[in-house]
Amino acid sequence: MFRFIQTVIVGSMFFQSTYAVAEEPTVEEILRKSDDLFRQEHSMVTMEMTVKTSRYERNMKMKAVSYGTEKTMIIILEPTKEAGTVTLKVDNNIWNYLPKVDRVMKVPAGMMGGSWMGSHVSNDDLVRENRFSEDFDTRVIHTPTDGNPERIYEIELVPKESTAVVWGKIVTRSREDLLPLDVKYYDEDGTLKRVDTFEDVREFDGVLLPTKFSVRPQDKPGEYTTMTYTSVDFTTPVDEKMFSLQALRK
Amino acid sequence: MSFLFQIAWRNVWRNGRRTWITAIAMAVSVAICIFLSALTNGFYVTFFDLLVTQKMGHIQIQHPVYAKEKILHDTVHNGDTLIASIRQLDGVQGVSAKLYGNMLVSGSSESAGAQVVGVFPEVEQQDRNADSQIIEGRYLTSQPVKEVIVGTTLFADLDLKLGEELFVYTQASDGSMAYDLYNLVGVYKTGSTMLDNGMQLHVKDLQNLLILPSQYHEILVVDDSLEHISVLQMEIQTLLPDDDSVQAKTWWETSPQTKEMMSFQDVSSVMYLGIIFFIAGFGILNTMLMAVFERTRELGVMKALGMRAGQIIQVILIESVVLATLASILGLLMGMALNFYLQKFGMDLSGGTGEPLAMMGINFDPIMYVNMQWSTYPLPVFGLFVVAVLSSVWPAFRASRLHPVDAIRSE
Repeated sequence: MFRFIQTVIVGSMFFQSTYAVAEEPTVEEILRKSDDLFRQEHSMVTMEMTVKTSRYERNMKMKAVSYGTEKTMIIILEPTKEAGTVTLKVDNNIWNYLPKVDRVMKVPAGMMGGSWMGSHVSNDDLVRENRFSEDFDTRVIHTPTDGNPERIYEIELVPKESTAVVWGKIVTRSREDLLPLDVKYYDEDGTLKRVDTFEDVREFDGVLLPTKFSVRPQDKPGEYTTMTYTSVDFTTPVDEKMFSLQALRK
Repeated sequence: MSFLFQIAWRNVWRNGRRTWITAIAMAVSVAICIFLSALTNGFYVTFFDLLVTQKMGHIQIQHPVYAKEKILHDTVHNGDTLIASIRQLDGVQGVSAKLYGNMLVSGSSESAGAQVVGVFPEVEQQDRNADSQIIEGRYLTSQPVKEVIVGTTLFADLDLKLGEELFVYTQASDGSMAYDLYNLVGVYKTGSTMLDNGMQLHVKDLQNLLILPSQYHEILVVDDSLEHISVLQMEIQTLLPDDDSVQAKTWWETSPQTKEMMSFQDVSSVMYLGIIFFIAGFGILNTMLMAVFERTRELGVMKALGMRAGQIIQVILIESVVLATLASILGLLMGMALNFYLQKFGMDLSGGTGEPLAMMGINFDPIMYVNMQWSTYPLPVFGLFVVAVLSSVWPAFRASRLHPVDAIRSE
């Protein structure tokens, strides 16, 4: 699930359907698409992030570069005060480069649950690697066809006992072409805690992609984080060497 | 009366050694009571000064839920203006203000989470003797020049060195990353686990870091008179905004437990006074009974010569009062001498190690100074007289009931 968030940040997911969905897809197929579409070589996106909390509102512009699934670098472009701040994600680790003091800081385990850049996305969300098909028991609970111009696949995911997941249940909804629509997170008591939505599907380099991603924590009404792509580039090559601590300082 | 007094006086000195021993025993009781009063008083004065005056302040000004929820944003706004107007009020002895934040602190090798406290260095130095807590280096300078001092535990945990630059990282009030480098100038030790695992810097530096200009989590006011606090609280309330975003509470509203503990002082004084005089009472009872038994014959003669029962009772009671007077004078002198000495030199409760005594997260100076108050002197003396009279009632009554013939015959 967290991969959706990462996806938007990374911008390399949701490659236009390699599947021609001729027949009714299985749950496995829908989920595998989410997981596997992520296996994209490289991407470069610019995006805007808006964070609204009861305490503050925050607008940022950033550039995200990724290489494969495990390496991502996010460079803050605006506001000026924070420009040049870089977040580097390699595997399950996150480093921040802080230009004001010219220093690289690894986000310690104790702060992984904390907010990333003041948003509703946590550092953990950036690195979490749950594969739905492996970590969850799944079932399609709703595939309405009647009266709808497009079919929607609704899938309920319950974490397997061996999986360390904070949620009690996750419900995803996808379009007929398997692009995600929204994800609802429930806690162990069945209370809806968070809703992620994917909107504004557009085409980049022949790839269909939702360009707007929002997180709405349900226990904080009125608060949200929205990320919107302003440009997506899947063609310009990305040098793997740039995802190193030395390169961070450049 | 003077005749009865004469008889009593002679009887008192008939067995001088016993009189002196009894008087000294009673005097020691008085002295102990006086000393214990001064000691507990000294303890409570120290306790109140450390916990209330220095730590909580007499009046605390805070956002209504900050104390409970400790959320960064729940601050007192326009704090500088408010502090300036509070200083103008009558009876205000000192105003300090603090800002708190939880941060990641890194030295050259290690990192740790720590509570960071922003303070006004000058106020802390003048009102709270902050310099005395510095065990290495020096205290903060009065200007916000990005200096920090760290607690002794954090200093050791992070393997820090004086003069080193500390990297501090957290989230600012506007959601942005807040981080900066600060020069480590000193190490402090307070005895409080939380503080010693934390860090202090100039409150203006912390406001800049957290983007909370002129905002404070608490403003602490110290009144020059404890009786005046409620009045001052009302005066301060008129300065606060009307929207309930800030509240001013007295120390007993903030911490009713402390108030309860302070009132326990009186209860404990009465308790040990009771115990000591209960024991002393039996000593006097014994002495007076002895005096009566010894003089059975003599009392019989007195009765035979026409002394009335009431007069005999008076004689015995007067003896007891004389004894008590003697003991009181001795006891007061002993108690005063002890108090004057301990008020000046104190007593070392650490047994010479000099280790501070930690209690309720506060460090007490191991040298305990008594706090002598003249108002604590009359009670033990009064108690002594009451006990002396009470414990001689029975011997006196016995003496008065003696049958002259039987008494004279007895040997």
